[in-house]
Amino acid sequence: MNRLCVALCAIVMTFTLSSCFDFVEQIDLKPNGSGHIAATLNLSKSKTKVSSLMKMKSIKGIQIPTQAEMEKEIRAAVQLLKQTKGISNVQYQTDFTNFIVNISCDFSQIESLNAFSDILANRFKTKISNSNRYYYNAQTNIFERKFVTSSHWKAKFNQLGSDNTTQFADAFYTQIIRFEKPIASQVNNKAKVAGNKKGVLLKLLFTDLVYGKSTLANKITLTK
Amino acid sequence: MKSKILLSGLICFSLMGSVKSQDLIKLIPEDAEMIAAFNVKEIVQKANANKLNELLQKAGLFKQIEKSGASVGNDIKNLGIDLTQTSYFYSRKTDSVSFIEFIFPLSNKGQFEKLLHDAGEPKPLANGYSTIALKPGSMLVYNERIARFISSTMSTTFFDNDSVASRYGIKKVAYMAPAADAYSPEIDSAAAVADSAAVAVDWEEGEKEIEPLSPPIIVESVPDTVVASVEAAVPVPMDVAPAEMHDPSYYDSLYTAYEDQNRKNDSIRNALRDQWLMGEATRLLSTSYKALSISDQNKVLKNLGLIRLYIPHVEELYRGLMPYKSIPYLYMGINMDKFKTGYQDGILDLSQDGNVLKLKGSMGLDKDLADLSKRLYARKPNGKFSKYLTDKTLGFFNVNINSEAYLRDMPSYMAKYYGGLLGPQQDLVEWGLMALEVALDEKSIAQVMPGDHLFVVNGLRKFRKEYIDYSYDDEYNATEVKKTKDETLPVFIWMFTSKDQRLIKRGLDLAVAKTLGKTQDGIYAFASKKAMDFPMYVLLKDDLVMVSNDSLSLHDIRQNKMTAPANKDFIKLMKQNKMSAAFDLQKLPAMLQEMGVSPGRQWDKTVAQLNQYGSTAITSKGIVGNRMEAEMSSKLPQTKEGAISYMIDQILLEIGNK
Repeated sequence: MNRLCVALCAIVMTFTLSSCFDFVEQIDLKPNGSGHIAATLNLSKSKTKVSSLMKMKSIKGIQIPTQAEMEKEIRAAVQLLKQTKGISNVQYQTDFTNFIVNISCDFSQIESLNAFSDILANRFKTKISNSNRYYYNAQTNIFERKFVTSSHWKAKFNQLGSDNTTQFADAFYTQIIRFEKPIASQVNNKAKVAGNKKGVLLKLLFTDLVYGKSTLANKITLTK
Repeated sequence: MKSKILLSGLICFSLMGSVKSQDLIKLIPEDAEMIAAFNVKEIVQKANANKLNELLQKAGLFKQIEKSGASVGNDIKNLGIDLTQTSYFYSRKTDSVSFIEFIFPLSNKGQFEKLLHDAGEPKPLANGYSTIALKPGSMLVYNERIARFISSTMSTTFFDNDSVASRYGIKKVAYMAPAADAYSPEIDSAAAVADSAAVAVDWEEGEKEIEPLSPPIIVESVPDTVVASVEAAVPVPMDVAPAEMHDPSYYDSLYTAYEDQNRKNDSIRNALRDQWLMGEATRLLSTSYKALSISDQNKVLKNLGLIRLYIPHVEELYRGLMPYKSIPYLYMGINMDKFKTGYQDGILDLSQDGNVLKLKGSMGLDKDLADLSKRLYARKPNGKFSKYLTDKTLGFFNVNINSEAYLRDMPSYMAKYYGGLLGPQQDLVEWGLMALEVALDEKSIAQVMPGDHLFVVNGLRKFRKEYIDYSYDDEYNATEVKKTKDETLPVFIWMFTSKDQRLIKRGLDLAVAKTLGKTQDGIYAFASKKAMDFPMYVLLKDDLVMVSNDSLSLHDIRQNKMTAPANKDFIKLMKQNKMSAAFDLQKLPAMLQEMGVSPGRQWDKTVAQLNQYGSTAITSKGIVGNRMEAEMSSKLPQTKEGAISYMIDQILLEIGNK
């Protein structure tokens, strides 16, 4: 999944000035630490360009995956996910008209999310797993996400040139975390708390994340 | 390493050439497969000698030469190579070995010899020539006025034939023995393969005859013995694999034997290659061969621009490239010997006309194919096409064929030229083609689509595109929502003549009746689908059928509101050719910017420079005489010194930026 995202994003960002895409991560966390996660990569804003690029085999040495290859990658990722301890009810949807890929699953404990992240990162040889960890303590009612800007991603972006801000002006990473208990506090100054106090939304520019101007890290304390 | 650099230098300088060019061309044998002529005087003049010196200096060639002990003062004129004459390259092939030769004239043997200082001591060869061995399989021979680099490469398939291989002591060996019932794909027919290399070299002279190497012997492998003894001592159950097969030493010994034999085979091949190279050099220097015919010489030299590639027999070259002796072809009954193309000689010319760089190609056709091709291309573009080539046009593609002649003549053409490819099905396929010929009413079809087509990209337009976004409620539950945004995309129109539009109109009406599309103001509209990223619009106007991704353009055409001034250059290109395609590079930077497409930072400068370029075009006049002609031209920025000089400037700039 990550390699697919990287490939698609790399294609879009390399060849278009307006690389528009959304990555939306939604987590529903229960008080016992189990829950549901859904990750969506939405390239529909750039679908004309992605569709044009997919008609080519490769550009500038970058292999352009076919739809069949992408589907195969997604199926392999889903298969891995199904084999991950603590992960169940794995579902996925692909829409190659609008270029939207969605994968969702249930997890029995918060550690399963980290295991999932590690397994996929190892499989696709990406260096993101150590930058991103989830923690939840049911006793203290504290959910924590640690996030460190990946130097690997930064290096990749720098290879593309210095005008990345323009290129990614409309590319966002959105994280939504919903809880059953109301939120007492959260520490990320760019996050918003829902009207019912049971959700946190964090929508960040992709480039800000890459260059460390923003972070996904947060510490959310729930009411007891 | 140094010899490689030296060799590269020599090849390079052979591109730039007080011997008359006619003398040198006579050194090329008549059976050359491919010949290239380099008009060195013209190249040096057009490129500007000072710029060439600068280029070679920056590329580090002079430095390497100086390291080898020669001093040329950073000037190509001091290399001892005659830069006022034509240099040549050719290749010659037998069924066992391929030779290539570069021939270039010398102006100063002493200066030239200094370049070879590092390559070793020259040895006298024959007829006043000296020789220096370079990398294995190649040699340089030269005298007072000519230098010749000759190289040989063994055929990869020559030794596939068992009888040929064993004649030279080559023993084929497989890493694993084939299964008993495995089909052997090798043809063991000694008569079928003529060893022309052996014929070409005068082996009867005795002194050059190859010492037949004793066939290599593989020591009987130990595992066989082991297996035999084990089998004798302990009966192996039928359903259990013999234990020895799992013993790594069994595979190790097999591999060692395999490698040993391969090494012996390679030694034999290399010895043969060097022997044959020496034989070829001796033959060439003795001039005991027939030179290129006068007519071929004329074809190489007549109106030579900068560089010309000449292939005397395209069909033979084509056959040589096809694996027609391979088993699958024979198994299918395909006889490539019967395969004909009708192609004769081929010429590719690189020339400069001011700031225009041209690559012009032509190919001779046999009479039947020339006559047929003339009939196929006997069509002019519809005169009405012209008004759609305007100053907004970014590029176009126009092709004109006579579909009536195409449908009428293609079956017999296929049967005649490609019949050999059909194998045992030839009769059946020919019957099918004849049936098709009878069944098709080519005159009626030609009324529907006579064969002239124009595809034109007429500027850019903003298109409203839907995309999926998300909205969030108070509890941050996400919902998919459809939004729209404007995207700038090229507007294209494909048009063709259709004098009888009944069939097309009926089809379009049927699609509308089936709700696959709709009509609006006389224009058929079909929504975008998965396989089609944009909506498609069709307009039938006068005797033209137009298909476009832009309804507004078709509305303007329908109401005769096309007001943009004509693009005279494009119209001229289209009218003067049977096939033409052109793109206005000047408009490309603005177009890419407007579309939001970035080819990457490293290309930004290059793209920006395209503002100074003109059009790049590919055109074909179809058949001229009995030759098929085509040309590619690119209009580079206008400079005092012309296209080649401009290109060298760009290379120098690029080197300077690194």
